[in-house]
Amino acid sequence: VFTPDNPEGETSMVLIRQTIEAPGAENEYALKIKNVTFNNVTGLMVRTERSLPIIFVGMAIVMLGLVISFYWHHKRIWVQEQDGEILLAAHTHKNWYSFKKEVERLIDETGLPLDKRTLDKEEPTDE
Amino acid sequence: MNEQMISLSSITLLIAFFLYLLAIVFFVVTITGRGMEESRRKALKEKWGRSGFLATALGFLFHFSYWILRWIGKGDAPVSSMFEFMSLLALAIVLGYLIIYWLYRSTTLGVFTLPLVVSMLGWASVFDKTPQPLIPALQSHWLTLHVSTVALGEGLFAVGFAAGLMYLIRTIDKEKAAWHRIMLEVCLALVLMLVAFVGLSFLFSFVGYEAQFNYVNEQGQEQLLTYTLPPLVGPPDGQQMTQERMQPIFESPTWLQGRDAPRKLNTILWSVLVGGLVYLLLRLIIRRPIAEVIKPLLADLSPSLLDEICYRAIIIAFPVFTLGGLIFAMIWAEQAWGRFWGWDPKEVWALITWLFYAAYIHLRLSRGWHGLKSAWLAVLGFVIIMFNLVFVNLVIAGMHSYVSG
Repeated sequence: VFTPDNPEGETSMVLIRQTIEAPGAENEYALKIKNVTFNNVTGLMVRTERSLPIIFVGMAIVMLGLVISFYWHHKRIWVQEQDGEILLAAHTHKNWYSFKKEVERLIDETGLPLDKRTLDKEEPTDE
Repeated sequence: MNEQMISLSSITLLIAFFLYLLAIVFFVVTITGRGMEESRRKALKEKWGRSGFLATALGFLFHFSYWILRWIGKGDAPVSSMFEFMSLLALAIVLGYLIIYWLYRSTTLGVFTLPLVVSMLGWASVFDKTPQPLIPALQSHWLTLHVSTVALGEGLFAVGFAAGLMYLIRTIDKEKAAWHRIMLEVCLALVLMLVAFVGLSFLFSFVGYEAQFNYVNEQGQEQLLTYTLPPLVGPPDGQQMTQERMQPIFESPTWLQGRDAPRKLNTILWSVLVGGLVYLLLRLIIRRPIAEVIKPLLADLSPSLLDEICYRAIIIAFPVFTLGGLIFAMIWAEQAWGRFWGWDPKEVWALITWLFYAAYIHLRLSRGWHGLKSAWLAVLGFVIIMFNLVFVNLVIAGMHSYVSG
C-alpha cells in the first residue's frame, strides 16, 4: 500500500474476509474487501447451427458427384456376329489402358474365340 | 501410454524403411536391361519386378503395423505431431502406389515413388519422436479421420507427381522448348535438395552435433533454441550458448513468425546449398543434363500410359482429398473452434491445393490439356503441397502448427 505520507509503502495482504499484515510490520493502513460486483465471463462457446442439415446434404451431393464421375467411367463395348466372324469394338472417354486390360480379361472370361493380339495396338493420341 | 508398444512400433518402422530401400534396389534392376535380348530383358523385368513388389507390400505391412502399434501404445491415433504426420504421409504414398500397381502393374513407377517414401520417412525421423498427449480441445475422432484422409489424398497426389515427373523425363527432348528442359532440371535439383536435407540431418544427428542459442522469440519470450546443423543463420539478436561452434554468418529476419523459425530457415538453407552442390557436381561428372541420363531407362514405357497413370492417380486422389481436406476438416473445425472456416494459413493453402487440382481436372477435360501440360500441372500441384508442409509452418504461426512442427 502506497500512501502520500508513506511513499515507501507498506505490506498488507488481502484474502476474502481476512486481512493479513506482514509479520513485524507496523502498518498505518490496511486493505479489506468490502463488497464485490460479479461479472459473468466464460471461455465456453455455445452455438447452434441450424443450417447443418443443408450443409450435410450439400457435402453428400458433392462427394457423390465426385465419386461417380471419377471412380466410374463411360465404357461401351459392341459385339457383332457377321458371317461366322465375331467383331468387337469398344470405346471409352478416359483411362484407355485400364479399359484395354478389362477387354482382354472379358475375352478370357467369356471364352469368345478372339485373339487378344489382334486388339488395336494404336495408342490414344496426346494433345 | 504403453512404452513397450511404442518401442516395438519404432522397430517395425525401421524394418519397413529397410524393406523400402530393398524394393528400390529391386525396382532399379528392372530398368537396367538395356542392350539385352528382348526375351531376357522381359524375364529380368518380371523377376525383379515381382521381388520389388513383394518387398514394397511387406514394407507396407510393417509400416502399417507401426501405425497400429503406436496407436495402441499412445492411446490416441498417431496423427498429431510432425513426425507422426510425415510417417503417415509416407504410408499413404505406399498405399497410393499399391493401388496404382493393382490397376497398371507398373514396376518402373516404383523407381520414382519409393525414393519419395524413403525421403519422407527420413524427414519424419528428424522431428521429435516422443509421443505428446493431445490437448483436450483437439481430442476427437474427427481429427483422426481428417488427418488420415488428407494424408491418403496427398499420398495419391504424390504418386501422380512421380508419374508426371516420369512423363516429363520420358518425353522432353532437344526438340522441346528450352524452358521445359530447364524447369525439369530445376525439379530434379529440388528432389536432390530433399535428399540432401535427409542426408544432412542423418549425418549430423549421427555425430551428435548441437549448438544452442538464447534469443527473444516471435512471441517476445526468451527461448533456448537448439540447432542440429551448424548455424549459418542465427536467431535475431541471438546469443551463442555453446562453445567451439561456428558463429552464424547472418541473422534470420524477424518476419518469420513460425515456431523455431531461425532453425528451420537454417535447415532449408543447408539443404538448398548442399543439394545444389550435389547437383552441380553430378552435372560436372556426367556433363549432360541429368534428365537425359535417366531418359533412356524409361524408353520402354509408353508416354500415353504414363499420362494415364498420372491422371488416374490424381482423379482417385481428388475425391479423397475433398473428403478429408474440405469436408472432414470443416466438420472438425466447426466442432473444435466453432467455425467452419477461419482463414488459417493451412486452411487457405489446402484450399489453394484443392482449387489447383480442380483446375487441373477441368483443363484436362474441357481444354484438352493432356501430355506435357498435364504432367507439368501434376508436378506443380505436389510442389504446392510440399510448400504448404514446409513454408507455411516456417513463416506463419497458425492453428495447424504441430506440437513439434
